[in-house]
Amino acid sequence: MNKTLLIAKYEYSHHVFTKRFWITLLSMPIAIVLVMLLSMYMSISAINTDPVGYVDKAGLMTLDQEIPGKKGFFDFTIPFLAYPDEEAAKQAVGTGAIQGFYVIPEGYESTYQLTYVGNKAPVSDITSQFLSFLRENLLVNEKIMNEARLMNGSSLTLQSLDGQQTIGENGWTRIIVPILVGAMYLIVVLSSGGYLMQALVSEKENRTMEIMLTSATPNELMTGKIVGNMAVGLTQLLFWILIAGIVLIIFRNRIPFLGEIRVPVDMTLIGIGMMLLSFVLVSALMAAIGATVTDTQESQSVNGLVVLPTVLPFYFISAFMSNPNGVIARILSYFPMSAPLSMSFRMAFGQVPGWEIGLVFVILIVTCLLSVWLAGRAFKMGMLQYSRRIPLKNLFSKEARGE
Amino acid sequence: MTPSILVDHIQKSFSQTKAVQDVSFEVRPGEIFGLLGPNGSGKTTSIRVILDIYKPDAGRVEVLGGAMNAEKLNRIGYLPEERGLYQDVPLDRCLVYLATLKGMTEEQARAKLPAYLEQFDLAEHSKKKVKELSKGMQQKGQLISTLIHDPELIIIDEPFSALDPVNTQLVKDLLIEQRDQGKAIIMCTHQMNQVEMLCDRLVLIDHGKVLLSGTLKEVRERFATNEVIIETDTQLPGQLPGVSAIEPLNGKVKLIPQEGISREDLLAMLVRQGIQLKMFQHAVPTLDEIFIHVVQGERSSDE
Repeated sequence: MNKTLLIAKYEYSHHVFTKRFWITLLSMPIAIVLVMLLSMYMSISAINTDPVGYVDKAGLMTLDQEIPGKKGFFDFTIPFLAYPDEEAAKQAVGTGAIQGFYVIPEGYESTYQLTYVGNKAPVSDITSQFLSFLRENLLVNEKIMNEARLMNGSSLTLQSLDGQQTIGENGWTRIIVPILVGAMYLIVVLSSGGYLMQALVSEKENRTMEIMLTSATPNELMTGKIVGNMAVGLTQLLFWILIAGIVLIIFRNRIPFLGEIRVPVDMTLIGIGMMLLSFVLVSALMAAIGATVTDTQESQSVNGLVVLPTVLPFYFISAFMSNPNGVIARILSYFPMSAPLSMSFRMAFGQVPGWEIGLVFVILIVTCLLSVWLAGRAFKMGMLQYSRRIPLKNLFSKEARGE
Repeated sequence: MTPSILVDHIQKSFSQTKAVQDVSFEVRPGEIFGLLGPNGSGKTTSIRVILDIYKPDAGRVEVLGGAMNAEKLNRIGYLPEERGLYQDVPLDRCLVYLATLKGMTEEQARAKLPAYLEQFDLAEHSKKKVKELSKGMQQKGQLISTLIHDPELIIIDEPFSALDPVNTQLVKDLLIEQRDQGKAIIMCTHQMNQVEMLCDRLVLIDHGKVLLSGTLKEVRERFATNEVIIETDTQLPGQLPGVSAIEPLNGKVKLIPQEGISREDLLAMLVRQGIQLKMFQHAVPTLDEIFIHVVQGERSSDE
């Protein structure tokens, strides 16, 4: 077998066939699902779903309330019970039969004023359900062709002045995708880069580097390590995508917003291109760190220099949302480490000129080439320096050129 | 016969440090060649230049009949001075992986490994993680990794460190066996007694320059004097004719002859003096003595 593949296979199996890897892999989606379920449960359980009464002094409520079957996990319908007068309704509140009641006064059709009587204000969902029920009763004698559509209200589309950027009412799904993909990308790139750095540091710590350098060429060694560790990151990503896909298929009809998620093709392609370049950049920088430090502890403290700028766009997400073409958003998207996430956010929240996308690609390609060159120097110079850290300036010396 | 290694006036510097200034030697198939020198003398750098880890600033290196290339890496077994194995994996998996990197298939490596593990008394430890093994066991594991792919050229740096006398003998026998099979072996060590027992030829370098080279016999003869060592029960007088100094030496006596006095003259004189000899031996200098003499002499001349 080709030595590059042998090294890649070893790196891959060394990480993937361990308990620690699978615990990390499973803990992420489990933690996300648990947090989501917990927060949903807490918000739902806070809603009082006891029946609510109403006193119809205007004589509008002629229809019986339809209670639809429960579709989603978090659907609830409040039963609305009619009372002849406020006294009866108050007594029902006193006995706990209802949590409160609405009063529809005489002449409602001219004032549209309602009163709610109760010890606690109803949550907005309850009022919204009651108003919907009231509207159905108001429309009962009107000759309207598509009553159900009218009840759903209008669809609103937001459009930019140049007409190129439009966001529908559910445009937030366009935003959620880059954020989620960005988070996954960060985890994969940083963990793969981290594995690569760790792999190089451990060659130094284990004193195996000299054996490796006399068994395979430096190119075979580095390519094998990069491919192997990238495969580890991709395994993580594919596993999570698989889990997400299963969740989407099973719960698509029960959790309504899952069905609304759409992935824009243009953003996806640009994002993938930038993320691949960024992966090379992060890997090369991690490799350079791995080659120049002396042990794992030191590498952990130095790799923050790579991690921090990469995750920086998340810290400034509000700046991207409020002004996707503002100074902060632009600076972060021109900086190679933070460019992939920044550009994804900018494209999600607004319109980015084509020339800027091109410029960022150029910046990324140039910095990729530079970082690979730097990693090559660091590797030549640092890999056999077992107990001495290589200062950055030495990477530009004659010695680093191998002359 | 084409030498397995030809090193021709190589030079290598790092920043201001001249690690190798002028080193030349050749190693032939079927010999154990000693590459000797004090710490920091340029041995490891020379080996790394031979193995193409470093490019020489000047000079020429030929390995197995030509310039080094990727294919030749599989024909070389190397035990570096700074050595180790992957600590977090079982010994057998680690050795099979390293063997596959030397061109063996996994099946070939797995088939060949048990015999080596048995020979080095590691069979029952093969499933243990490397970090659970003693230093000596790890050293033996490294030697297996150096030899398992049946290399034509073996380069070993301090092969006996961390080994007990039994395992030292085992390794010595193994090296002799490899030499007898026609392999070329370069051995770096500070243990001069091992060099005396194993090496056919040697080179001594210091400050990146060759101070001494040749066969063991040639080197010894070059530094040999007419001094003799005798063992006797007879009480020796304070002075003997033709002897400039009498020095006690571990229950024996070393006689240093005056200028122009041969060993035969000394023997005749001792017989004439009526001294009962139990032993009369030419005081050939040990490699240790030659090493110290040459290195100290070179350093004092530098000063």
